[in-house]
Amino acid sequence: MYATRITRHLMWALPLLALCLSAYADTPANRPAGGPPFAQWPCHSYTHPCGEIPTRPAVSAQMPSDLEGDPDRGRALAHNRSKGNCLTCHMMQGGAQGGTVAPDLSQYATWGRSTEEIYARIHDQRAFIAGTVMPPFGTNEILTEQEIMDIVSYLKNSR
Amino acid sequence: MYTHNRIGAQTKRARVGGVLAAIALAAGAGTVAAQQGGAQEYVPFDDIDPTLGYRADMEFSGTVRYWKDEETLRQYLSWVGDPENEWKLNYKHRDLEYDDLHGGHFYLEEGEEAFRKLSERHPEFPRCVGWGETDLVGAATRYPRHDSETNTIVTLESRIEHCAKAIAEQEIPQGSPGNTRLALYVKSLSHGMPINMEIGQPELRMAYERGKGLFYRKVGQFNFACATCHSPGTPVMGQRLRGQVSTTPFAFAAHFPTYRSARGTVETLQTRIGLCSRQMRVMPLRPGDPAYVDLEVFLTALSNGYPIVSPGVR
Repeated sequence: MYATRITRHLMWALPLLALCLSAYADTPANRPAGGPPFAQWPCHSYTHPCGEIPTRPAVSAQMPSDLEGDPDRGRALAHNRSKGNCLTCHMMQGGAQGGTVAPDLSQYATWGRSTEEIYARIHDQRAFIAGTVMPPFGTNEILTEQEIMDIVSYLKNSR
Repeated sequence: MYTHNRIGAQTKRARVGGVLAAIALAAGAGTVAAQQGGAQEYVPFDDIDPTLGYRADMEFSGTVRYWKDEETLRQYLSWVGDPENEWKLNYKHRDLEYDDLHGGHFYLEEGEEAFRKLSERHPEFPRCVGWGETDLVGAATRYPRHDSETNTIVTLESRIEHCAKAIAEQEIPQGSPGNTRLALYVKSLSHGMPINMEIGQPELRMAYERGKGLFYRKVGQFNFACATCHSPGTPVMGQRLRGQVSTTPFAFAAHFPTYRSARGTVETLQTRIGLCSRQMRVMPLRPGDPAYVDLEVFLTALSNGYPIVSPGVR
């Protein structure tokens, strides 16, 4: 008897808990406290405040001097669809089915670009190419400073 | 009423944490205030003549010449499955009748049944959807249209919602499966008939311009506009994105509500825009939102003249 009562309670609690967690799980940073997703970024709405949010201006970022990048982590981040997702547009070392939209980065280390420049370009390519298609990964907080450093290190090892 | 619509479900999920929502609002307002001072970014506009309908594609992406009619499409049918050439068909090869039985047909059958029952009980319902005409053949080609009485732009889905409420006193909100299957049935009655939205009408033309602005405006965390990948002039057009190729916006509205094999369900144009938005990290809006109505007008104008395909499949 007691066991069935507990089951009955769990029947309510478990799906509810699962729902709450799943709402969080998909993008924790982009769903502050369970509100509509991505409401802090510009949107199409005429009525919601996000319809009035302007695009963040282009930034020429300085590379943080106290961080070390890891090429293996960088490769994983660059190929991950929910992180850098660089592979969708670029061909990269170790990646299958790279895109043809943007330049081939397989031998990027031979391009002669400095670490600081690569960092700034991933952080916000708009500072170098106005109207570029590439998302501003740093300015729009898609990647953290450490994650960008990892990808820089991966690219510096692509030769 | 419970909806199977994913956006609806997400919003409901959000309501579960009622206390948390208040904090979210406060946090959201803070972010907005912190970011004032920039400007809104746009992808360069393409010089599209909306009166040309889908034929305006000719001078842009160069894909339309491969599918402007069924004859040509049949001619290039060998390209289906050929990775070098299939993208030039722009998925239009999926619109022909030899794309046989798919999930949309089952949905269509349900829609026909639901429509028949509703019309038997409420004979005025078909006349309302047909804007005064009981014969609904060709009715779907004229949506979205402007309602001068309420001065609003009415899509097929919002008209069905309105008529169900006004005549049958039933709540069939747009975006819900009940509404979508009725819309699919009404649209299938116009299968093969060219879309004929009145783009010369001033209100629709204004909605077209607003929709164009939204289509080319950069939004979301990725700073993408719809036009970043789907405008005819973009450098992305014809290029590969991990093996996929983006489509042009032309003749895009013709196959909605469409059966999506990836999701196993039929979805409307506005539901699709909402789901795209989510993937591109833009806040999705509910079907029927004025912004999505304007986008639908914009996309339908670029489909003018192209025959309706219903039930469509992608």
